[in-house]
Amino acid sequence: MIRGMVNALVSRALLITSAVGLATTVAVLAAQVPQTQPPPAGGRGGAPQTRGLPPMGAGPKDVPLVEIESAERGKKVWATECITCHGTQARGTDNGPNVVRSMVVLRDRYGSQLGPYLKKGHKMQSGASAATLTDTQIRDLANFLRDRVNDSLRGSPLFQAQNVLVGDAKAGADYFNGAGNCTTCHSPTSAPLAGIGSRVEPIDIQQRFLFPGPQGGRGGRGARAGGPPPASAVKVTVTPASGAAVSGVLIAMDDFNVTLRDASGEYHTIRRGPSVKVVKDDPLAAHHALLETITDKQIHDVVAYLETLK
Amino acid sequence: MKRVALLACAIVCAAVLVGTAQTGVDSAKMLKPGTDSWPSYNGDYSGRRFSTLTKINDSNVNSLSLAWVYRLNPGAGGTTNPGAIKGTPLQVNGVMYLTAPDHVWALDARTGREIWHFAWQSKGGIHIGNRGAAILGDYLFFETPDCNLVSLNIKDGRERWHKEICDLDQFYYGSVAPVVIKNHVIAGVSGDDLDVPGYLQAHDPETGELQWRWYVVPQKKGEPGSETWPNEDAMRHGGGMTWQAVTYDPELNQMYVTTGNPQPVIAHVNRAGANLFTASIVSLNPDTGKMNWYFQSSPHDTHDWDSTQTAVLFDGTINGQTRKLVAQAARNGHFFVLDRTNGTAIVSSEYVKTNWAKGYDEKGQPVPNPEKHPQIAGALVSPNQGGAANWPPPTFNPQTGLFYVNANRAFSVYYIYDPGDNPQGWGGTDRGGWGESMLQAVDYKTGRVKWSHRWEGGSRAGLLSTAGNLLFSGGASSDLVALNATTGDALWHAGLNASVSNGAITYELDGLQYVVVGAGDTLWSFVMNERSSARR
Repeated sequence: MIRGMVNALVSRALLITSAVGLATTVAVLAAQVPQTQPPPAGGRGGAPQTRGLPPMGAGPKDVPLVEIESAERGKKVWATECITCHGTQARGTDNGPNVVRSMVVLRDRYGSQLGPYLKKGHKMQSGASAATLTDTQIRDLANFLRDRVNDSLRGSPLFQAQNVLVGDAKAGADYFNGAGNCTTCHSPTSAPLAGIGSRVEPIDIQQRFLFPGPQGGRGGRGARAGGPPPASAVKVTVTPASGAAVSGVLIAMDDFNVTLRDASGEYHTIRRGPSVKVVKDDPLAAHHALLETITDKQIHDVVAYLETLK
Repeated sequence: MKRVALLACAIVCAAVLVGTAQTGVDSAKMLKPGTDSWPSYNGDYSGRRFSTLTKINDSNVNSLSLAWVYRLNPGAGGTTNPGAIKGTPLQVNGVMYLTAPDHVWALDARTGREIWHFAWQSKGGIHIGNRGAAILGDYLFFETPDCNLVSLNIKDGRERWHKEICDLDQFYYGSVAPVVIKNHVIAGVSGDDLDVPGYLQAHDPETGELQWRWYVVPQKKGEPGSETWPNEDAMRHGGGMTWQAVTYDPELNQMYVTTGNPQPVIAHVNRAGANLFTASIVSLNPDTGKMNWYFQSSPHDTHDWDSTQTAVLFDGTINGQTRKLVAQAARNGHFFVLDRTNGTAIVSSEYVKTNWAKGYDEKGQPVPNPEKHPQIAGALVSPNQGGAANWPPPTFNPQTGLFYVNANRAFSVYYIYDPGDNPQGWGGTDRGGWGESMLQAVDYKTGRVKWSHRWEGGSRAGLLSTAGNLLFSGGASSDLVALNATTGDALWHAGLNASVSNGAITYELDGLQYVVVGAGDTLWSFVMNERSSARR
């Protein structure tokens, strides 16, 4: 969709909400995603703590939020009566189907579908009939299973990078000092690399050396008035047909105009034309060029090497 | 459902009726739409988004004037903020029909005045965008985020009927522009959070009743394509959303459907195989929903590269012979030209450089490099998840013989987050990214990029080409840009205060040619006035 751009916009985390947190969440998303709170749990005071708002407002407005305490209790019921056939994550085993993809679970609202299904007498791993489950146990299972559905979603607690530290540090050092040409600008004993292994997670080391600076290589925040631009800001020099050249941090450029802020902080927009010379200077050009040549092994090796810089 | 605004007042109505009659479009006009209208998502069934109008041309485009501006007005009864214009409006008999999630507006195409507004009371779903409406006769059809296909009367915006086309509990939603072919309203579905199958449906324009449903992925072992899935569970949850408006060749009676990526999206270990008919161009019979042929643009995709970019139809000359062709600039960075009678590939090429394929198979389909599938420790891949192209429409100009597409050459690292043997949903994603953006003019005969126009600040806008040797695109700085279609030189632009968020359309009314484009929440209409346009 075409989404495409849809996916790029996906929220990073399934929101963990409390009674207070929910109010904040709703306020932020109200324009797009009104949220239905779960019905109050019977016999307990106050609204239960919940989590599990799907990203981008996916699903119906009354998608059930997970009651956290109930889901924890449901986990125990699951381990006792269900896990052997349906698996730890409820995604099925050779002995039983995937439950998180079942319509009973996807249509369920705190046991509304699961209850009648289990009351038919589904055989459980203890040998007992599911008809013996109490309403509270069914609600707990329903919350546990909605949590497992949510495991599938982007932003869930399981939606996390795994170990990226798989490279050869020695080979990474060789690349750093050799083919990568990193030492043209960088030293392992000076900023920003000195001690990076103790300050930055490996995946962030990987991301930062592949994609440093503001995305797209534009001036970004550094182009704003006030404060010096970052070293990574793209510079531009514009030389008109007559008159002096103007240099500064690039703010914007299209086919018709180029906009920059000079060292004194002055803002310039200059009309482009055949006689106007525009020269860009991107301090990160070597990093961008690296993307054309570096192999995945070299990436992992460099991460392993930089991670040793404690 | 409730319509929240009627004809504003008698004075407005009278003014509207002087040059505008809210009458619809019949099937004959759908087959040969005049230059005074833009009656379907792509303007006509071909998907070319090429207009024969020449009143605005490469020698006078610098005199293009602002005609009117309309900012989305959700009214008091709307339940949701309409967001940005991410669809293509229709224009029929002087009335423009504009959509956003849960909203439809009828506007006077000469003045931009709102004639009526319809707001749907939503039950949920992702409100990321709505691509547009379809019209047949006096009836309009559009999809809602909460999975309904809704029909309105175009005279007053009153609802005629609505039909549920998908299931919110499975996290489907509606965003696609329907297309009317004969007596079929063709509607696709959206959604890729849970692992659910994509499908396309046909509905009766009169009653809304379902006529047929075609599943993108097989639902049972033994069905065509099921041999490319490991088991029934995988194929039945294999994704393949139908995000894009279809195109159609009336002579062949073939409809061209472009399909989404397989599920789980990134972690793919439990769906070994090509995963047909995801990420494909598929020819269907619009009367039955039966498949004629398929071509898979991205076999076993693992990068969220749906192949739902428009299948563009034109006739061309290949080795001295006139051929019926279909072309696509796919999200994965590859350009395909096929014989649209049977799906045989004629050209397979890259329209931007990519790093994920090892070449092409005997059918002209890319062969994925397994090393560039997402990896636990990361794999550097180009294009990134956003793709070399995405939903914004390309254009084909038969006069230049060039296929134009706004392209991104971007890199990112793809990670497997769920290393288990039965991942669900996404199970990974890409992170980071650096890229460049350019408008590519591709020679359909060779697949080679004839010229490339770089956008310094990036652009993903949709495109329009005209016989005035013009190409309209969103530019790098929230502007609408007119380029010389032959050379790619930028000729004119206008700042719109927001990036162009759809593809421009054009039409002629009262002898004046208009170009209309959406940017954020605002629709901008430009016109080439007559030399002597003074009025008393």
